[in-house]
Amino acid sequence: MSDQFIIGGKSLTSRLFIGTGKYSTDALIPEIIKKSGSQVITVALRRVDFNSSTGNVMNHIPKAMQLLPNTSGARNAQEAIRIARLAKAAGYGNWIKIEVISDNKYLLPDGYETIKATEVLAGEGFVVLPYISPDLMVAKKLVEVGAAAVMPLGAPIGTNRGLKTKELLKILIEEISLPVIVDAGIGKPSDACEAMEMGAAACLLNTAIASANAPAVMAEAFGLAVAAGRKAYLAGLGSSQQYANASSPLTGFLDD
Amino acid sequence: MEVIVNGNSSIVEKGLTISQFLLLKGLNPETVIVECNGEIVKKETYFQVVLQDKDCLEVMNFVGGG
Repeated sequence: MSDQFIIGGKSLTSRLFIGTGKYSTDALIPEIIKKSGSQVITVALRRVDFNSSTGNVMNHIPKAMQLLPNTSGARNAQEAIRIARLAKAAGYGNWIKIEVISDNKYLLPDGYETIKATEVLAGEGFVVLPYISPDLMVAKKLVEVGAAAVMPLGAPIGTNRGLKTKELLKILIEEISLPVIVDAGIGKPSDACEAMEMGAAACLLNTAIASANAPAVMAEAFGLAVAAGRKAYLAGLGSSQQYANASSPLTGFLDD
Repeated sequence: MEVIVNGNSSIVEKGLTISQFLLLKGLNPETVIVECNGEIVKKETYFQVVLQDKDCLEVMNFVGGG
Protein backbone atom coordinates (compact mmCIF):
# COMPACT_ATOMS: atom_id res chain seq x y z
CA MET A 1 0.00 0.00 0.00
CA SER A 2 1.55 3.29 -1.06
CA ASP A 3 1.44 5.80 1.77
CA GLN A 4 3.43 8.88 0.94
CA PHE A 5 3.90 11.53 3.57
CA ILE A 6 4.99 14.75 1.92
CA ILE A 7 5.80 17.80 3.97
CA GLY A 8 7.65 20.87 2.84
CA GLY A 9 8.15 19.18 -0.53
CA LYS A 10 9.98 16.28 1.09
CA SER A 11 8.66 12.73 0.88
CA LEU A 12 9.06 10.80 4.13
CA THR A 13 8.64 7.11 4.80
CA SER A 14 8.78 7.39 8.60
CA ARG A 15 6.06 9.20 10.51
CA LEU A 16 8.04 9.42 13.71
CA PHE A 17 9.88 12.67 14.41
CA ILE A 18 12.32 12.62 17.30
CA GLY A 19 14.02 15.13 19.57
CA THR A 20 17.64 15.24 20.71
CA GLY A 21 17.22 16.66 24.22
CA LYS A 22 17.82 15.06 27.60
CA TYR A 23 20.24 12.32 26.54
CA SER A 24 23.01 11.52 28.98
CA THR A 25 25.37 11.90 26.03
CA ASP A 26 24.76 13.04 22.44
CA ALA A 27 26.75 9.99 21.35
CA LEU A 28 23.55 7.95 21.87
CA ILE A 29 21.76 9.86 19.13
CA PRO A 30 22.97 7.92 16.04
CA GLU A 31 21.69 4.64 17.49
CA ILE A 32 18.36 6.27 18.44
CA ILE A 33 17.98 7.51 14.86
CA LYS A 34 18.82 4.12 13.43
CA LYS A 35 16.50 2.13 15.68
CA SER A 36 13.58 4.54 15.40
CA GLY A 37 13.80 4.78 11.61
CA SER A 38 13.06 8.49 11.99
CA GLN A 39 14.00 10.92 9.22
CA VAL A 40 13.18 14.20 10.97
CA ILE A 41 15.00 15.38 14.08
CA THR A 42 14.68 18.46 16.27
CA VAL A 43 17.43 20.57 17.80
CA ALA A 44 17.50 23.82 19.76
CA LEU A 45 19.65 26.93 19.25
CA ARG A 46 21.69 28.28 22.13
CA ARG A 47 24.61 30.57 22.86
CA VAL A 48 27.97 28.82 22.71
CA ASP A 49 29.38 28.33 26.20
CA PHE A 50 33.03 29.32 25.86
CA ASN A 51 33.83 27.95 29.29
CA SER A 52 32.85 24.38 28.57
CA SER A 53 34.08 22.12 25.84
CA THR A 54 30.88 20.19 25.26
CA GLY A 55 30.72 18.52 21.87
CA ASN A 56 28.48 19.63 19.05
CA VAL A 57 25.19 17.77 18.63
CA MET A 58 25.49 18.14 14.85
CA ASN A 59 28.45 15.75 14.90
CA HIS A 60 25.96 13.01 15.84
CA ILE A 61 23.23 13.70 13.27
CA PRO A 62 23.69 12.11 9.83
CA LYS A 63 23.46 14.51 6.88
CA ALA A 64 20.48 12.62 5.41
CA MET A 65 18.27 13.59 8.36
CA GLN A 66 15.86 16.49 7.91
CA LEU A 67 16.77 18.96 10.61
CA LEU A 68 13.88 20.64 12.42
CA PRO A 69 15.32 23.40 14.63
CA ASN A 70 12.91 24.70 17.25
CA THR A 71 12.49 28.23 18.55
CA SER A 72 12.53 27.19 22.21
CA GLY A 73 13.37 30.09 24.46
CA ALA A 74 11.20 32.46 22.41
CA ARG A 75 8.55 34.25 24.48
CA ASN A 76 6.95 36.15 21.62
CA ALA A 77 6.70 36.17 17.83
CA GLN A 78 9.61 38.57 17.40
CA GLU A 79 12.01 36.31 19.32
CA ALA A 80 10.79 33.24 17.46
CA ILE A 81 11.37 34.96 14.12
CA ARG A 82 14.90 35.95 15.16
CA ILE A 83 15.74 32.40 16.25
CA ALA A 84 14.27 30.96 13.04
CA ARG A 85 16.38 33.24 10.86
CA LEU A 86 19.52 32.37 12.84
CA ALA A 87 18.74 28.66 12.55
CA LYS A 88 18.35 28.99 8.80
CA ALA A 89 21.72 30.75 8.59
CA ALA A 90 23.29 27.59 10.00
CA GLY A 91 22.77 26.06 6.57
CA TYR A 92 20.70 22.98 7.34
CA GLY A 93 17.59 23.92 5.43
CA ASN A 94 14.49 25.98 6.04
CA TRP A 95 12.33 23.88 8.35
CA ILE A 96 11.38 25.44 11.68
CA LYS A 97 9.33 24.30 14.64
CA ILE A 98 7.73 27.41 16.10
CA GLU A 99 7.59 27.18 19.85
CA VAL A 100 6.52 30.35 21.66
CA ILE A 101 6.17 29.84 25.39
CA SER A 102 5.89 32.25 28.27
CA ASP A 103 4.15 29.94 30.75
CA ASN A 104 6.91 28.27 32.74
CA LYS A 105 4.79 25.85 34.75
CA TYR A 106 2.97 23.96 32.00
CA LEU A 107 5.01 25.21 29.02
CA LEU A 108 1.80 25.78 27.09
CA PRO A 109 2.30 27.57 23.76
CA ASP A 110 1.07 31.08 23.01
CA GLY A 111 -1.29 30.66 20.04
CA TYR A 112 -1.54 34.33 19.15
CA GLU A 113 2.22 34.91 18.99
CA THR A 114 2.67 31.57 17.19
CA ILE A 115 0.28 32.67 14.44
CA LYS A 116 2.13 35.98 14.01
CA ALA A 117 5.52 34.26 13.77
CA THR A 118 4.20 31.63 11.37
CA GLU A 119 2.78 34.25 9.02
CA VAL A 120 6.09 36.13 8.77
CA LEU A 121 8.27 33.02 8.41
CA ALA A 122 6.00 31.25 5.93
CA GLY A 123 6.15 34.47 3.90
CA GLU A 124 9.96 34.20 3.93
CA GLY A 125 9.81 30.67 2.54
CA PHE A 126 10.27 28.67 5.74
CA VAL A 127 8.58 25.30 6.15
CA VAL A 128 6.79 26.17 9.38
CA LEU A 129 5.63 23.53 11.85
CA PRO A 130 4.02 25.30 14.80
CA TYR A 131 3.66 23.71 18.24
CA ILE A 132 0.16 24.54 19.54
CA SER A 133 -2.50 23.68 22.02
CA PRO A 134 -5.14 21.64 20.16
CA ASP A 135 -7.33 24.68 19.50
CA LEU A 136 -9.35 24.51 16.30
CA MET A 137 -9.44 28.24 15.68
CA VAL A 138 -5.68 28.64 16.17
CA ALA A 139 -5.11 25.72 13.81
CA LYS A 140 -7.43 27.24 11.18
CA LYS A 141 -5.57 30.54 11.36
CA LEU A 142 -2.28 28.69 10.93
CA VAL A 143 -3.62 27.06 7.77
CA GLU A 144 -4.54 30.52 6.46
CA VAL A 145 -1.11 32.03 7.17
CA GLY A 146 0.84 29.26 5.48
CA ALA A 147 1.92 26.66 8.05
CA ALA A 148 3.12 23.34 6.59
CA ALA A 149 1.53 21.32 9.40
CA VAL A 150 0.13 21.86 12.88
CA MET A 151 1.65 20.21 15.92
CA PRO A 152 -0.82 20.02 18.80
CA LEU A 153 0.21 18.68 22.19
CA GLY A 154 -1.10 15.47 23.70
CA ALA A 155 -0.08 16.61 27.18
CA PRO A 156 2.39 19.20 28.50
CA ILE A 157 6.01 18.87 27.31
CA GLY A 158 8.06 16.19 29.03
CA THR A 159 5.20 14.78 31.12
CA ASN A 160 4.87 11.36 29.42
CA ARG A 161 1.15 11.52 30.26
CA GLY A 162 -0.21 10.47 26.87
CA LEU A 163 -3.13 11.76 24.82
CA LYS A 164 -4.88 13.83 27.48
CA THR A 165 -6.25 16.11 24.75
CA LYS A 166 -7.64 13.25 22.66
CA GLU A 167 -11.09 14.70 21.94
CA LEU A 168 -9.59 17.99 20.75
CA LEU A 169 -6.95 16.22 18.67
CA LYS A 170 -9.73 14.29 16.92
CA ILE A 171 -11.44 17.55 16.01
CA LEU A 172 -8.22 18.94 14.53
CA ILE A 173 -7.60 15.77 12.55
CA GLU A 174 -11.15 15.94 11.18
CA GLU A 175 -11.26 19.65 10.41
CA ILE A 176 -7.73 20.69 9.43
CA SER A 177 -6.53 20.03 5.92
CA LEU A 178 -2.82 20.12 6.90
CA PRO A 179 -0.94 17.21 8.49
CA VAL A 180 -1.66 17.04 12.24
CA ILE A 181 1.51 15.95 14.05
CA VAL A 182 0.99 15.11 17.71
CA ASP A 183 3.85 16.73 19.60
CA ALA A 184 4.56 16.59 23.33
CA GLY A 185 3.24 14.44 26.12
CA ILE A 186 3.39 11.09 24.37
CA GLY A 187 4.76 8.70 26.99
CA LYS A 188 4.27 5.20 25.66
CA PRO A 189 4.39 3.51 22.28
CA SER A 190 0.67 2.75 22.77
CA ASP A 191 -0.01 6.52 22.98
CA ALA A 192 1.79 7.07 19.68
CA CYS A 193 0.00 4.11 18.13
CA GLU A 194 -3.37 5.46 19.25
CA ALA A 195 -2.62 8.92 17.82
CA MET A 196 -1.79 7.30 14.48
CA GLU A 197 -4.92 5.10 14.57
CA MET A 198 -6.93 8.30 15.04
CA GLY A 199 -5.46 9.68 11.83
CA ALA A 200 -2.60 11.83 13.04
CA ALA A 201 -0.08 12.32 10.22
CA ALA A 202 2.93 11.79 12.50
CA CYS A 203 4.15 11.96 16.09
CA LEU A 204 7.02 13.98 17.52
CA LEU A 205 8.52 12.90 20.80
CA ASN A 206 11.66 13.25 22.83
CA THR A 207 11.30 12.60 26.56
CA ALA A 208 9.60 9.21 26.24
CA ILE A 209 12.67 7.82 24.43
CA ALA A 210 15.33 9.81 26.27
CA SER A 211 13.99 8.90 29.72
CA ALA A 212 13.63 5.17 29.03
CA ASN A 213 16.03 2.76 30.72
CA ALA A 214 17.13 1.57 27.28
CA PRO A 215 16.57 4.53 24.93
CA ALA A 216 17.57 2.76 21.71
CA VAL A 217 15.20 -0.14 22.40
CA MET A 218 12.41 2.33 23.19
CA ALA A 219 13.19 4.19 19.96
CA GLU A 220 12.62 0.97 18.05
CA ALA A 221 9.38 0.33 19.98
CA PHE A 222 8.11 3.80 19.02
CA GLY A 223 9.05 3.28 15.38
CA LEU A 224 7.03 0.05 15.31
CA ALA A 225 4.09 1.61 17.19
CA VAL A 226 3.82 4.58 14.83
CA ALA A 227 4.01 2.31 11.77
CA ALA A 228 1.41 -0.06 13.25
CA GLY A 229 -0.97 2.76 14.13
CA ARG A 230 -0.65 4.24 10.66
CA LYS A 231 -1.31 0.88 9.02
CA ALA A 232 -4.39 0.36 11.22
CA TYR A 233 -5.68 3.81 10.26
CA LEU A 234 -5.25 3.02 6.57
CA ALA A 235 -6.91 -0.37 7.01
CA GLY A 236 -9.93 1.29 8.63
CA LEU A 237 -10.81 0.24 12.16
CA GLY A 238 -13.87 -2.00 12.60
CA SER A 239 -16.80 -0.45 14.46
CA SER A 240 -17.14 -1.03 18.19
CA GLN A 241 -20.35 -2.56 19.60
CA GLN A 242 -21.98 -2.70 23.00
CA TYR A 243 -22.97 -6.40 22.85
CA ALA A 244 -21.11 -9.55 21.85
CA ASN A 245 -21.15 -10.60 18.22
CA ALA A 246 -19.90 -14.18 17.76
CA SER A 247 -16.91 -14.62 15.53
CA SER A 248 -17.64 -18.32 14.97
CA PRO A 249 -20.76 -19.59 13.14
CA LEU A 250 -23.85 -20.01 15.35
CA THR A 251 -25.10 -23.06 13.37
CA GLY A 252 -23.87 -26.64 12.90
CA PHE A 253 -23.09 -27.38 16.55
CA LEU A 254 -22.31 -31.07 17.34
CA ASP A 255 -25.59 -31.74 19.14
CA ASP A 256 -27.82 -30.03 16.52
CA MET B 1 40.37 46.30 21.31
CA GLU B 2 37.20 45.13 23.01
CA VAL B 3 34.34 43.07 21.59
CA ILE B 4 31.28 41.85 23.47
CA VAL B 5 30.75 38.14 22.91
CA ASN B 6 27.57 36.52 24.23
CA GLY B 7 27.26 39.32 26.72
CA ASN B 8 30.86 39.16 27.99
CA SER B 9 33.70 41.52 27.24
CA SER B 10 36.61 40.02 25.34
CA ILE B 11 39.90 41.66 24.39
CA VAL B 12 41.07 40.76 20.90
CA GLU B 13 43.74 41.90 18.48
CA LYS B 14 42.83 44.44 15.84
CA GLY B 15 42.27 43.15 12.31
CA LEU B 16 40.87 39.78 13.36
CA THR B 17 38.26 38.24 11.04
CA ILE B 18 35.30 36.32 12.38
CA SER B 19 36.84 33.05 11.14
CA GLN B 20 40.09 33.79 12.94
CA PHE B 21 38.22 34.77 16.10
CA LEU B 22 36.18 31.52 16.10
CA LEU B 23 39.25 29.35 15.53
CA LEU B 24 41.02 31.20 18.33
CA LYS B 25 38.13 30.23 20.61
CA GLY B 26 38.42 26.61 19.52
CA LEU B 27 35.22 26.61 17.47
CA ASN B 28 34.60 25.19 14.03
CA PRO B 29 33.30 28.11 11.92
CA GLU B 30 31.20 25.62 9.93
CA THR B 31 29.06 24.71 12.93
CA VAL B 32 28.37 28.05 14.57
CA ILE B 33 26.01 30.88 13.77
CA VAL B 34 27.15 34.44 14.31
CA GLU B 35 25.18 37.61 14.74
CA CYS B 36 27.17 40.86 14.72
CA ASN B 37 25.48 44.00 16.07
CA GLY B 38 22.08 42.37 15.56
CA GLU B 39 22.72 41.29 11.95
CA ILE B 40 23.21 37.67 10.91
CA VAL B 41 26.66 37.20 9.38
CA LYS B 42 26.61 34.93 6.33
CA LYS B 43 28.84 31.91 6.82
CA GLU B 44 30.61 32.43 3.52
CA THR B 45 31.76 35.87 4.69
CA TYR B 46 33.28 34.79 8.04
CA PHE B 47 36.77 34.93 6.55
CA GLN B 48 36.19 38.47 5.19
CA VAL B 49 34.39 40.29 8.00
CA VAL B 50 36.91 42.07 10.24
CA LEU B 51 35.91 42.70 13.84
CA GLN B 52 35.67 46.32 14.90
CA ASP B 53 36.15 47.83 18.36
CA LYS B 54 32.97 47.48 20.49
CA ASP B 55 31.34 45.00 18.10
CA CYS B 56 28.66 42.98 19.81
CA LEU B 57 28.68 39.32 18.80
CA GLU B 58 26.27 36.52 19.50
CA VAL B 59 27.80 33.13 18.79
CA MET B 60 25.36 30.23 18.77
CA ASN B 61 25.17 26.60 17.85
CA PHE B 62 22.65 23.79 17.86
CA VAL B 63 22.19 21.74 21.00
CA GLY B 64 19.94 18.83 21.89
CA GLY B 65 16.28 19.83 22.09
CA GLY B 66 12.77 18.58 21.49
